Amino acid sequence: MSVDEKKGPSRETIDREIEAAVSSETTGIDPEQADEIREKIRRRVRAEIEREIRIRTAAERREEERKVREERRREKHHEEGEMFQRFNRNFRFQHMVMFSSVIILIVTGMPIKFPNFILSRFFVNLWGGINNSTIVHRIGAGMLIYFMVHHLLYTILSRDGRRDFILLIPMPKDIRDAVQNIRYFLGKTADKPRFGRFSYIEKFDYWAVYWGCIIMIGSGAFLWGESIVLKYFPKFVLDIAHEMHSDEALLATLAIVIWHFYNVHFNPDRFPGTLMWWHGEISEHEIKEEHPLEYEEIMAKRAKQTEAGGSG
Amino acid sequence: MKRIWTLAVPVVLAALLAGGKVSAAAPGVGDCLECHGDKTIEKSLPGGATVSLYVDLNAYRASVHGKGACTTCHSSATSPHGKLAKVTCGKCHPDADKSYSSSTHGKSRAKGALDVAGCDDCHGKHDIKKAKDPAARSFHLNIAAVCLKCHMDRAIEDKYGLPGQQVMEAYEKSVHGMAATKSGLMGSAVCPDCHGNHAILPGDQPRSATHRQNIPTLCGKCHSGILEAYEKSVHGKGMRGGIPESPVCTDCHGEHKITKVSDPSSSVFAKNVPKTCSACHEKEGISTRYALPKKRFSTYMDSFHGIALEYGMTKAANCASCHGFHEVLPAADPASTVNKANLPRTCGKCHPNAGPNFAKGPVHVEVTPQKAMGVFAVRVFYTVFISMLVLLFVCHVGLDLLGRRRRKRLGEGEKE
Repeated sequence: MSVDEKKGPSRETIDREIEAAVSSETTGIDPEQADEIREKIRRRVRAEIEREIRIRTAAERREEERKVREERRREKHHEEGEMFQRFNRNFRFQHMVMFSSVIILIVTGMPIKFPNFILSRFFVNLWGGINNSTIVHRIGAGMLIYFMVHHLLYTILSRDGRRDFILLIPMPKDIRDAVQNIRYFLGKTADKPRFGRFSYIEKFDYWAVYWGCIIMIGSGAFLWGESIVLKYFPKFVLDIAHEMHSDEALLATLAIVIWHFYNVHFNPDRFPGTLMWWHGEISEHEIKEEHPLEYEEIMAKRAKQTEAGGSG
Repeated sequence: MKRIWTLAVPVVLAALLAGGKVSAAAPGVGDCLECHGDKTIEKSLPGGATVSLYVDLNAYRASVHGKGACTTCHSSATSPHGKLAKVTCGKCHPDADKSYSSSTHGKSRAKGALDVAGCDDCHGKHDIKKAKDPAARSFHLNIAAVCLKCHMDRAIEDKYGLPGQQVMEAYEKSVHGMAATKSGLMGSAVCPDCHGNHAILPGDQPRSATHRQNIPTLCGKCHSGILEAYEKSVHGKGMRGGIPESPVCTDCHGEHKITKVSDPSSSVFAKNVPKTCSACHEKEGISTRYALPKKRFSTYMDSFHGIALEYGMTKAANCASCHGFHEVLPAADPASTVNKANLPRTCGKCHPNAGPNFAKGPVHVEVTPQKAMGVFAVRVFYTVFISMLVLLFVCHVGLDLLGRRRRKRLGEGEKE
């Protein structure tokens, strides 16, 4: 029975429904046991129906689902604590568009940079030959351009986007953090640097993508519209664009594989991977460990709110 | 059979003893056929093999010589007779005989090699027909099979050091061979069209029709428009000017195995063109001796054109797309398709907006400071940048991992 049909049901209809469900389950069982089962079912069905009545809107339903999920997770790892949202739905969508486009671009682009590599021919033939693979590369490029536009609009128009952008600007603290982190790695200091919402590692990642997108989309557009470009520029400009596209692609691939994959997805804390890119949530345990300043900020904000709520 | 032999010998001996005057009036066809019309008549050779001496009268009558008499060719024949004198076709066909005796077949046969083709091997014996007759052995569409009877025989190939069977098989699959056997075209090139018929000589002899310096003229017999273009090209001029490395038709197209341009196995198929051209143009000796620009092949293979072609994108430009093929000319020649002035039009074949900008900057990009400063600078920058960053990444990751291990060990130590 759908939620909408449940809107404003009378007490009797609910009871009738419960009785119907119960009697269908308990026919042909000895009375004492049947009573017990009946009571159990009654309780469960009532809870279920009441919960459904509570959830009126889609947003409420999502919130409810999140709570259920969190409950389940807490049961599994109770040391994780409360779950905080780190990446909102929009941001996760951007990340997904970007990584799918980048994977497509790498898989179709690298065989052209390294034609003698043993798997190159396999990756070209994966799409049914070079003619198709070049088309797939352009589809990937289109996705990346879309991502770039989406992200720029997100940065300008959304409150979260503006806040994140400002928090991502490199600060002197990042250099201090980097130095301290290295010292911490080497055992010169016992204290891990205390990061805010974005550590210097994540800032580096972010700006690497920024830089990479500008170079790759810029030079790629030159190569895509080569005959228009050559109307206005001499051929050597196209040669330079070609060289940049090819070299920056290698840099981006290496940055993703070495830097991003290790630091974000596969380091020993997270191995064999994290699903944060999918659900966007970070546990209390993790946020205290990796973004203590952000955690403190959130807590301070909460305290203020409850104070304001209490006084008001 | 033996009966005839034993009968014939004393008769002939008697005839010879009598001073040869016994020979009566020359025997007619009917007289000969009295014995030779018997299908079982045969002669034994010293080795033990036997040869049929039967003559098919109908076949003979249908032949080009069918109206003549046996004695026209077998002039020494009497009835009965022993071993006859050799038939000499040259008596009536002196021109053919002259050119045949200058040929490699004729010369070998004169030295006594009897398994080398004589007149009868190609033309037949009693059943000779005019070459125009579709039933003739020497008919255009039949002759290849006649040649291949010996030239596909491994024993003969080995004995005379002839090209192997695969060469002959390649001809059958070639565009010329297919034109003859599959399409039945009278214009198809069959063996004698290139190698000559009576005066056939091996290709290494200057007088041979298939000698290197005669090849363009030879192919031009049929492909005359292409010969004209070739003669104007740098290759054609070089060839006529006596430059030995200058390519002739067969250097690019192959010989017996020649196939259509659209055939992927052809040496001039789009994908195979760079390999074919670079066979000479990547040779250090040739490019130095004739002051040709170097690294043409490697720079091409580094370009998108080269890589895409290698992956099978046949619409990507190959050497011939820009330089032309039969009419290829050096870039300095104003008529050349790759002359700076003509580049916009040449590139415009594929890049519709091609203008004068196409001619600015090298096409074969050699990444050196002198030839392509911009590309060189970008490459150097990125090489340094990438190495530095990767080093940084690896150090950071490595230190992180080492730090984790150290802390873990410390933690364990403390627990104990």
